[in-house]
Amino acid sequence: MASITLGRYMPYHSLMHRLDPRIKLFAMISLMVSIFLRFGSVWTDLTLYAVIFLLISFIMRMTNIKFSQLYRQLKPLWLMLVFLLVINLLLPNTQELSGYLDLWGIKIYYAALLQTFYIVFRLVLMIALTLVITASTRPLDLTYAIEWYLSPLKVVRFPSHEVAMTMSIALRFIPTLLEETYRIMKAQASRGVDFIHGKLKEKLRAMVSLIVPLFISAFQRSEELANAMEARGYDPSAKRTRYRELTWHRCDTFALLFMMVYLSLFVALYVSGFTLPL
Amino acid sequence: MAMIKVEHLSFAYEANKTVLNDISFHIPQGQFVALMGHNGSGKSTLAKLLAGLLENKTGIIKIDDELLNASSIRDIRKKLGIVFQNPDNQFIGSTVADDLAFGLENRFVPHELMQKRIEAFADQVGMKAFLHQEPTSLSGGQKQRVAIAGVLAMEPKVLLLDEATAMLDPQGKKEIRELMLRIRLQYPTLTILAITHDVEEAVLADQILVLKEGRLAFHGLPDTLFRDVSLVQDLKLSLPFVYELLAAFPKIAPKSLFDLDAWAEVLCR
Amino acid sequence: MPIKLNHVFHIYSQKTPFQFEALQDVSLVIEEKSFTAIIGHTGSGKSTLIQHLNALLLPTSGEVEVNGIVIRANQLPKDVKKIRQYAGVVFQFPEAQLFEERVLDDVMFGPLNFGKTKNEAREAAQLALQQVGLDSSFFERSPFELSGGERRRVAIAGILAMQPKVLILDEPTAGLDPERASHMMSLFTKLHQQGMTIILVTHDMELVLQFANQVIVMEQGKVIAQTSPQNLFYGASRQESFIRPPLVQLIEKLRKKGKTITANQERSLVDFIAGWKVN
Repeated sequence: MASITLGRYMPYHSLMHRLDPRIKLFAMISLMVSIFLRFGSVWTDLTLYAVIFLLISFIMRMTNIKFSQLYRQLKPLWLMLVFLLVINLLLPNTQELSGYLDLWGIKIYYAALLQTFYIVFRLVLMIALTLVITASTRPLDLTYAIEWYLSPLKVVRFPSHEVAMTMSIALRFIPTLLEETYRIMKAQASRGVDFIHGKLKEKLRAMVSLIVPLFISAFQRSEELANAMEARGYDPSAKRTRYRELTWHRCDTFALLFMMVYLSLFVALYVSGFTLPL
Repeated sequence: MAMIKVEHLSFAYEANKTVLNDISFHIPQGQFVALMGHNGSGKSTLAKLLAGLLENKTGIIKIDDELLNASSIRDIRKKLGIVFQNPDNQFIGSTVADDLAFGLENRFVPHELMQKRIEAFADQVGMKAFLHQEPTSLSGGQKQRVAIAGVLAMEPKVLLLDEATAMLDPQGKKEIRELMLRIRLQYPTLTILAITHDVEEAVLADQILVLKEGRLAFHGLPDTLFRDVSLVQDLKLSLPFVYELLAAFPKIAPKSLFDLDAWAEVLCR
Repeated sequence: MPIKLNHVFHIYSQKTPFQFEALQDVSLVIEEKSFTAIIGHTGSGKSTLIQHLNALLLPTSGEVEVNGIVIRANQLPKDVKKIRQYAGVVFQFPEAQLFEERVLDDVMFGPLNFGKTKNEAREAAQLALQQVGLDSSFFERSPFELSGGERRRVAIAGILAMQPKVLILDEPTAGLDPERASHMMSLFTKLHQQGMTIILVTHDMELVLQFANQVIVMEQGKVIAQTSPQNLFYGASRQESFIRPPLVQLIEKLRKKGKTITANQERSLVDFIAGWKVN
């Protein structure tokens, strides 16, 4: 359990922790948009991506996240990345970057390498951003931020409150459901189920003996929970007050201004096809 | 004034399976009543009907003189709070404070008043130190205490406990039993109906209702019930410890039945 | 063959900030055919201990011996299935493990996993269901349409069908009403009389008093006492931190007043009254 850092809240006291979750969500999306933009030339791309990389690294350090944690998240993905590289090598690419490496008779096009690099780069940064936001924001606060963004949709009858309530209840039950999963696994293992070894047919049976009880228990739980919520006067369509409120501070305004400048700048560079003189 | 009025209540889940048959009783305000019955006697069904979680009954249920039906249920829910059996499946908030806040949010309590109320009611059940704890770090007894606090925070007139201690260990049961005694003192006008199969709990009640095969077979004092050994057997209940002693040694029983020292005294003579 | 634990340590989440020593230098012997109760407050290590008995957990150091097979530190024995069949574990609220469409199929699941043929498994399942008091009308029904008490019995039958020599029970009567709890304990008593070793983990001191002939007391990962129930409640190894059953309290008061109470009066009120009336 302790090794699952992606998605886990780390209670430190960094600037990132203090920021309002709404601005963090906005920042995350802005940064993600910027890393998918392509500019006038390959060198421009690489230079601007380096700037973004520095920015995100800075944010990571601010949030007390070590690069080793980022590396650990990426380790399981290395096989997929090699696979991507191979695909890119095999597909013909029309790029402005021509030329290739000759490695024991195999043509490795620079274009293919670049393409793979872009994918890897974006993946690494997206994971870094996700790490930052989940480590610095309580899941429930993130839920409130999402609810806030979705609330204008209430005008078109979108059930934003219900969605947020569902998410917060799901979050509350994740540890409970995990515990239950372990319990059922232990019970079935005591009846001779081998979850790890065994032929494919056995493993499928093993999965069934785990998933069916989990689902049944989840349905029963939902029914009881619904009864309890109703009994406590829950009415999603009625007006309700809010215990936890998000408060906006000065640092949030600064962060907002910064992100707006950042986003406008990058979009302008993209639209104008900006090219670094090289 | 009768807080809970049930008159000629019958209920069947399906056509031929009548679970409750012509039940009638009144519970006056401020009483602590235990509802017992063997498995299949209909007591959980009765609890659900009183909580408004089941419909299609025949007969009348009135809470605080208000008839219980589909249109009045919302209003009645403000007066009748329920604590269910499974401590996990009624814990909605991510922390104790959030769970207590849930009921307050539903009732449109202003934000400014929430924190004080949450602290006050958490304190009443002894959970004030746990306000920021997540449910996974709480014991069953602690979670049930939070559930009770959540209900009390609504300032109801009736507290309905649906086998609230059934899933707890002896320590948890003891905690809740002691809490209930404190609550009775603090809220003398609160009407409490506890559905239970624990005779040691029931013996503390003002009145006991016992169901047998869907009918009301006993409504009276716990003492009256437990002194009648053949009736207890017929209703498939067990006897509290001191009543077993009483049944075995009727002639020498001490006046203070629950005092083991008194029993030791009389048994030595 | 007795179950032995030899200087067993179990540490959860080693080398992380969450490191926790659940078992500290536990050594004990559970004799064959005994009815042993394991008691202790929450966090004392009871559930960690029983999971070592069927190799669900391996010792961090030390050894466990079950059915002559030695379980060494961090080494899953090759014949782990033999251990799991020999020592059947019924966890708390075991009805959560039911998953088959029909009761009989679910009870057959265990024996099939341990290599029995379909016919053998079916016979074992039918016998086990009858042992828990569910007749043939239940065999073809779906477990999910049964009542809570019936589902619990199906789950227990699922372990009995494995024909274990040792039955390990974690709070088997939790959530049951007194009548059903009593039937369940009668079943275990009967199995014990037929030669099964029973290990009962419980918080309920009345059960310990009435049914066990050995008690192991755990506290913070250590075994602080292994003795008879009589000793635990009335004698030298008395533990203050557990709720004493009213019978124990009464007998203590009577003895203080000089009354003689014989040993066979100590375990249940029925016995006490019977013994009293004889005098």
